[in-house]
This record gives sequence, C-alpha cells and structure tokens, in this order.
Amino acid sequence: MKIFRPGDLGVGVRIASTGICVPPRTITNAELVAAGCPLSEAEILKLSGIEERHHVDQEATSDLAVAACRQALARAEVSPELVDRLILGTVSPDHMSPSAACFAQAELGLGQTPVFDITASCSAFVYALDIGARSIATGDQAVLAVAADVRSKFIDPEDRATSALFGDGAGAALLRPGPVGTGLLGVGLLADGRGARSVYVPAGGSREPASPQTVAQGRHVIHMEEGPKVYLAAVEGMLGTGEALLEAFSMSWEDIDLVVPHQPNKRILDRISRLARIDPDKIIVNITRYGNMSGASCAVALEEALRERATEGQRILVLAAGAGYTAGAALLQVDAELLAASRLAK
Amino acid sequence: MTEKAQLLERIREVVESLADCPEDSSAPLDVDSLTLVQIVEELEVVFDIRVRPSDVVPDNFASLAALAAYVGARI
Repeated sequence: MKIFRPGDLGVGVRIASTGICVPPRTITNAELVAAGCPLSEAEILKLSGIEERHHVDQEATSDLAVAACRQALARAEVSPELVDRLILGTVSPDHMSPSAACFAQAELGLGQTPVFDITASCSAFVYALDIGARSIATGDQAVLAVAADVRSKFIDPEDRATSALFGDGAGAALLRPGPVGTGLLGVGLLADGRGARSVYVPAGGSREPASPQTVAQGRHVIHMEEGPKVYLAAVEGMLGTGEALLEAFSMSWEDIDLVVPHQPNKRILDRISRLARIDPDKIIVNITRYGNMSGASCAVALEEALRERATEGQRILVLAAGAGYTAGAALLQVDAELLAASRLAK
Repeated sequence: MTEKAQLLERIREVVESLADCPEDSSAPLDVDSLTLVQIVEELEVVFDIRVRPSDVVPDNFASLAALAAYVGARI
C-alpha cells in the first residue's frame, strides 16, 4: 500500500467543499423484479439492503460530474477559471474516448485546464483524492476530484448477481491548500490485479472489441464471476487500507468519529462493523436509498456525513474497495469552513 | 458425541438454516454464490472466525465435511 501524507512535505491540503448529483428517477425493487430480476423483492432487500436506487434517463456520466462540480465550486465560491486540474474517476465514461473529463471541462468552462479520467472502479474517489492532494502539494491551488458513474447502462436486468445492485451518481470534492496538520491528512492506495476479471465488463475494449457477437453474448454488461470472493475482497480491501492508514498516523478505530465506506452491499458494511468492532452508528450508510454508485458512493456518503453528522475537529475515515481489485482509504479532519460550505443550500 | 461430530452437527445446522443440505456430509453442497456468502457470514458469527477471500475454494466449501475441516482448523 502506498500512503501519501501531505504533512510529510510540509504542506497542507484541505477539502474546501463537496458537491453531489444523484439523478431524480428512482427504481424500486418491485420495478426491477418486473423488468426481469430473478430475485424477489424480499431477496433483494435481504441480500443487499437496497430499497431503491436512482438511474439516469438520457444523461451521461459527464453530465452528473458537471452538476457535482458546479455545486462544489458554488459552495466554495470559486470560479471555474481558477481550477487548476480536474480528475474524474469513472468506469462508465460517456464514450470509449476521449475522456469524460474533457466533456465535463468544456461544459464547466474550465478553459484549457488539464483534465483526465482515472479508472479505479469503486475506489475512484479515493484515488482521485490522492492525485488531487499530490497536485495541491506540488503547487496547484484548486483541484476538482470527482467520481461519477452511470452503471445502469451496463447492467443485465436478468443477472442474479448484479441486476439489483447498481445506482447512478456523482460526487465531487474541491481541494485547496490549507494549514498543515488538518484537512486531508493522508490517503493510502493499493491494487491487486489478480482480481481483474472478478468484476468486469468484458467487451468494448482492445482485448475484446465490441461486435454484434459480443453484444449478443451479453459481454457489454457487468460480469461478476466470483461473487463470494468479491464480497470478501471488498471487506478485506476496506479494512486493510483503513487499518494501514490509521497505523501510519498512530491511530486506531477508536480515534475515528465517522466512517464513510464505499456502499457495495449493506451486509458488507455490517461485516466491516463486526470484524473491526466499529460502532455501527459511526458508519455512514446510504445504500438503502442509492444502491452501489461505484466510485460515487463514498463521495456522496462523505457529503452526507459533512452535511448531517460531522462537527468541527472530527476525524472521518473514507474507505473504498472495487473491481481490479483496487482499494483505498483517506483520513480527513473536518474544519469549520468545510462544514459551513457543506450546509449551504446551493 | 466427539468434538468433531459436534462441530459437524453445528455446521449442518448453520447450512440447513440457509439451504438444502445432503444427509451425507461428504456429498457435494449445491449452493449459489449468494447463499455461499450467507453461509460464510453465519459461520463467522457462530464460530468467531474470519474467512479470507483466498479461503473460498472448493476444497473448503465443497461439502459439509470440508466445511467442518476448514472451520475446525480455525477455532
């Protein structure tokens, strides 16, 4: 695992504001069953904890990312021209190329600011925070770290393992320089490519270009080949990176006030609570309303933690794990300005 | 009843609460991935063990007897 602590370089990085975008259309478990989901409504709820999720109509990933970024910029009162970099984490870009970030950049009016996509699946937001923090540490003044996904367009509605899980959404954080020793204290990341085919969309890339045959075979949608291993790997990834990051700061779970995990499945969150002996009340849970929004899940959950639960000075640990496999953790100490920005009705 | 037999019986109770269970403890367990996840969770709670991703292999989960051997080595 690689850990970045801005304080080690004598610099401070803070999250100045956050923004989210969740499409208005909700999909209930009953609607999924009517569309061919092989699970019953009761099974969906029991196995995943999801009651409903949000899906786009015509929007694409960059549309959600733009809305989240606009909210973050408005709350921090930073104009788009001042943004030095935009990092967009997604596994569902608008097109195979160019990046979704380019489409977002034009829509946001960022000028010729460098922008790029990163692919880290459900760990995308934490990966984007890492790169954003490093950008601030090396001179950037305002960096947008965004995670956005429209997984709904890549689902087989009749697949038992995946059809009920995914929702669409986006979450953004505006990073800026700050005092050393507070704000975004550190980020840890890891990956294990041995799990690369455990959850993937097989066709549409250079290994297996899209064709009438790949579509007919359903290889353009999400395949989860080894559900139990993916489930266990997600827990190991989040707990492992969380514990390693805490150790780097000589902290333990007791020093953390709120845990903001990726939301793959309610049972996974319960297992994390049980294995790490974390008070369940400390864990932010929104999967019941949003499903698994891939990289956006923990970004949206972070905004909810800041808006509804956090107080000044509290420590938040963001945890993520995703396909690849990827995993990451970010440690944040909440400042008053971030709280105020989070509670603006913008 | 030996400890080994008691463990096997307890594991049978766990699996039977979630899926159809063969009478023969060496017979293959026919469960889908979602049920397997529930079995893992229940075994962890009942026996206070932690199942790692690398442990989820046929050798450990193919039958009740295999499960008993796996859990027995961890308690």
